[in-house]
Amino acid sequence: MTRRNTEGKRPAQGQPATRLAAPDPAAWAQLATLRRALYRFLAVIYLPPDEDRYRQLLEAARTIRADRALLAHFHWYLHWQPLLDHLTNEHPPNVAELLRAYTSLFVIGPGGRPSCSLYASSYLDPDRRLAGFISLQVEQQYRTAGFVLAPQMHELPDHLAIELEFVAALCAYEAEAWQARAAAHLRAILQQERHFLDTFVGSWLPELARRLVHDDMTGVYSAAAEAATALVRHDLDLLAILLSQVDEV
Amino acid sequence: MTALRGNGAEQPNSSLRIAILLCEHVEGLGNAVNLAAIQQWFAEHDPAVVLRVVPQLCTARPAGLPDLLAALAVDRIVFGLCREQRHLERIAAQVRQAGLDPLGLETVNLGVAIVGPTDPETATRTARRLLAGAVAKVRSYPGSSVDNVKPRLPHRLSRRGFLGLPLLTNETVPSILRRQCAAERGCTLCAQACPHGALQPQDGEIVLEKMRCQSCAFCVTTCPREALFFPGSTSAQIEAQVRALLAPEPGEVQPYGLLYVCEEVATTLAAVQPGWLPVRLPCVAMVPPTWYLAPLLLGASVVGVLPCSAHCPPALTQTIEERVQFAQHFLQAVGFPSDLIQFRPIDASGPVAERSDIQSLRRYPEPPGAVFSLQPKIIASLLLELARLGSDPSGASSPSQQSAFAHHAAPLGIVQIDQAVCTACGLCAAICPTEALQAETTAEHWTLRFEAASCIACAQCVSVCPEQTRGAIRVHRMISWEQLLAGPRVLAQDRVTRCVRCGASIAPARMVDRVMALLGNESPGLRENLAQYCASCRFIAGPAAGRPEHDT
Repeated sequence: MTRRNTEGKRPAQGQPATRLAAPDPAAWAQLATLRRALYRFLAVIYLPPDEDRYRQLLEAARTIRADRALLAHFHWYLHWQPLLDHLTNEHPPNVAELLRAYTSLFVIGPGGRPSCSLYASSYLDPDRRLAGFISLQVEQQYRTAGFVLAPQMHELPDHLAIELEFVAALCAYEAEAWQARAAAHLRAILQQERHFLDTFVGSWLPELARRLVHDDMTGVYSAAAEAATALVRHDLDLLAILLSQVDEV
Repeated sequence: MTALRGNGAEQPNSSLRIAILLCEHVEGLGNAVNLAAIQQWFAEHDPAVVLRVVPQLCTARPAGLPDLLAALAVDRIVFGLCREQRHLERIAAQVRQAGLDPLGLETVNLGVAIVGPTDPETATRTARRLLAGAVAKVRSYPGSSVDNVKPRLPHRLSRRGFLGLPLLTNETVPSILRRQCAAERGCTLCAQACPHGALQPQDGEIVLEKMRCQSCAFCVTTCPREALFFPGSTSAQIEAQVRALLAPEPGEVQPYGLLYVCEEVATTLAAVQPGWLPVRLPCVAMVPPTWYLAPLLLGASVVGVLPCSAHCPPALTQTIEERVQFAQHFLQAVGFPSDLIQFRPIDASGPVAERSDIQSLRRYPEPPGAVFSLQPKIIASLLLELARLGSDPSGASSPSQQSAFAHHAAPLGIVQIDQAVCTACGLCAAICPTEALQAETTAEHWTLRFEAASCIACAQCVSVCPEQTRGAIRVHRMISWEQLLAGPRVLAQDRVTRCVRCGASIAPARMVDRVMALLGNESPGLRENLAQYCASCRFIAGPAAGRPEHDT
């Protein structure tokens, strides 16, 4: 869906003056990698379902569930269980059902308008104008991090799936920074992650989740929004703690 | 028990299935706890409870816990342990794995509650009461949200950990129930109360800075609207637990004392005499004055509090002492012995002394409604009930209508307005979080009403009064029986000045007078413009206002 612009500017790159002396950066790198996988998983849910993508999604859900003994150490796991239940039970919804629900919820609803928009602009723009200044702000965030949409991706930058994919990309950068033990670089990435989660994804996801509870008949999309909200809120707390630790170095 | 959105106000659901998981060593406590008798009691009184003995429950990894919980298909869990569980974080993960909310888990340390050579019958009875209390508490648990958790970094990271991932630990923190919160009106009670500065008002909302929060739950009981939700410490949960702990049993004559215990010193309970039933709280400074009094109406022969000495900030210790003192003085004032409330009774004898005065409140029927609620009207009715029982042992008459009881820790108060100074701006009513003050403007009059039964003496009204330095408004922490019984009354009233042009209201007369007084010798035209025209007509009338030829 996306590719990384190798020529793009990465946060605070080129200034890894401080070497990180955290107890075990490799462990934090692993956690960032895990978070990346989870955000990518959520991003895929909010793309239009097709056979191939859906098969991969179910496989990923089974993998996550298989690791429950480990993941249950995180409080967000409790809020992921309804989603995993939907996707790993014996009779998960089929692609046709999901596609019908996706179209009705997010593309064109009964009255000609989708009941639950997947664009940040629909929630954050005072005039609810798509492709307006919210889209521009989000795109600016992408550009700063050197993240560009793949040419085959014909969506506005503030689409939920793309925002989640971007957070996943930031997690990947974070993992690299932990491995490199570069404190200044790491701090910049953590700050960007926190800013993006707080200002963009985290600020409208709860409202989307609220709307989906009423409108989603499959249960998959509302459970995914609940799961995403829980993960984002948890990560905001985690990033605050990590930033305070990095600042102490 | 999947993630419910807690609002702290849900009713207990008797259909919930609850598992009591007991450590295999519980049976050996005291002179042998009779588990069969406990099981039989629950089968008779609460069939939704299943009781199981689990090997190694007090260790780090009880065998097969997630599978057991899944097989039992329960909604809530109570652990009955022989000692303090030091690996609660790992247990919480196993509970979460089974799809249950670990913040709703209640642990009862039977090891410290049943010590010494207690006879089997007493040991069994105590264990049963403590477990029934915990069951009632988890049944009233409304469920948490992700906001109720603060992740914390592990003390050290181990490369041998699970796949090298740093396993975070979680601390419980309060969440703010926006629909109940009065921050939009300017209320900042919880933010002022937080001893760690973790709650801050921000754009008409209260925001919790989790990094600063020390999970003391002190804020929870400062909010009269119960807008702060702390899993495990809501007034509804504590009341359910206390009612179950003190529930009368046929043939049981032993009086019980209720002891609020700080989480930090829960393990020192072993030093407490038998007969005290402990209620563990994150910090006992959160116990409001009425929580000391309410258990007496529910059958407690005495109520005590056991704070931690070393860890508690001095301000919190002082708060605890003041509230205990209030409860003691209040009891005395209404005709009961003050030692029904005891501060740090750890060295004292148990609450089983054969004293007729200690038993005095147990004669009265248990109140049917909530008595632990933080809402001022319920606080007022509790105090009135105690005063009624105290002043007349038959419980038939009302407290003296002449008397008032003043104390600096009183949970209620009264507001006084100096009508000569008040400018009738109404800011006091606008901020009042309990609506004890209500301003109303009719065609002719502006009226400020006050209801003593709704006033918690928070003094938010004083803080916003523009004339506070001139003594326009005063708040007194006192329980005025006369005002409580009288209901709402008019505190201030003024006629409304009307626009000479359109007839719309300008402001209460005394506000106009105050503005005139502040303007002093400003131009007469401006003075007349402000005093005679409403905001809209002032622009129309413009410079012509006040002149005799002005067309009205």
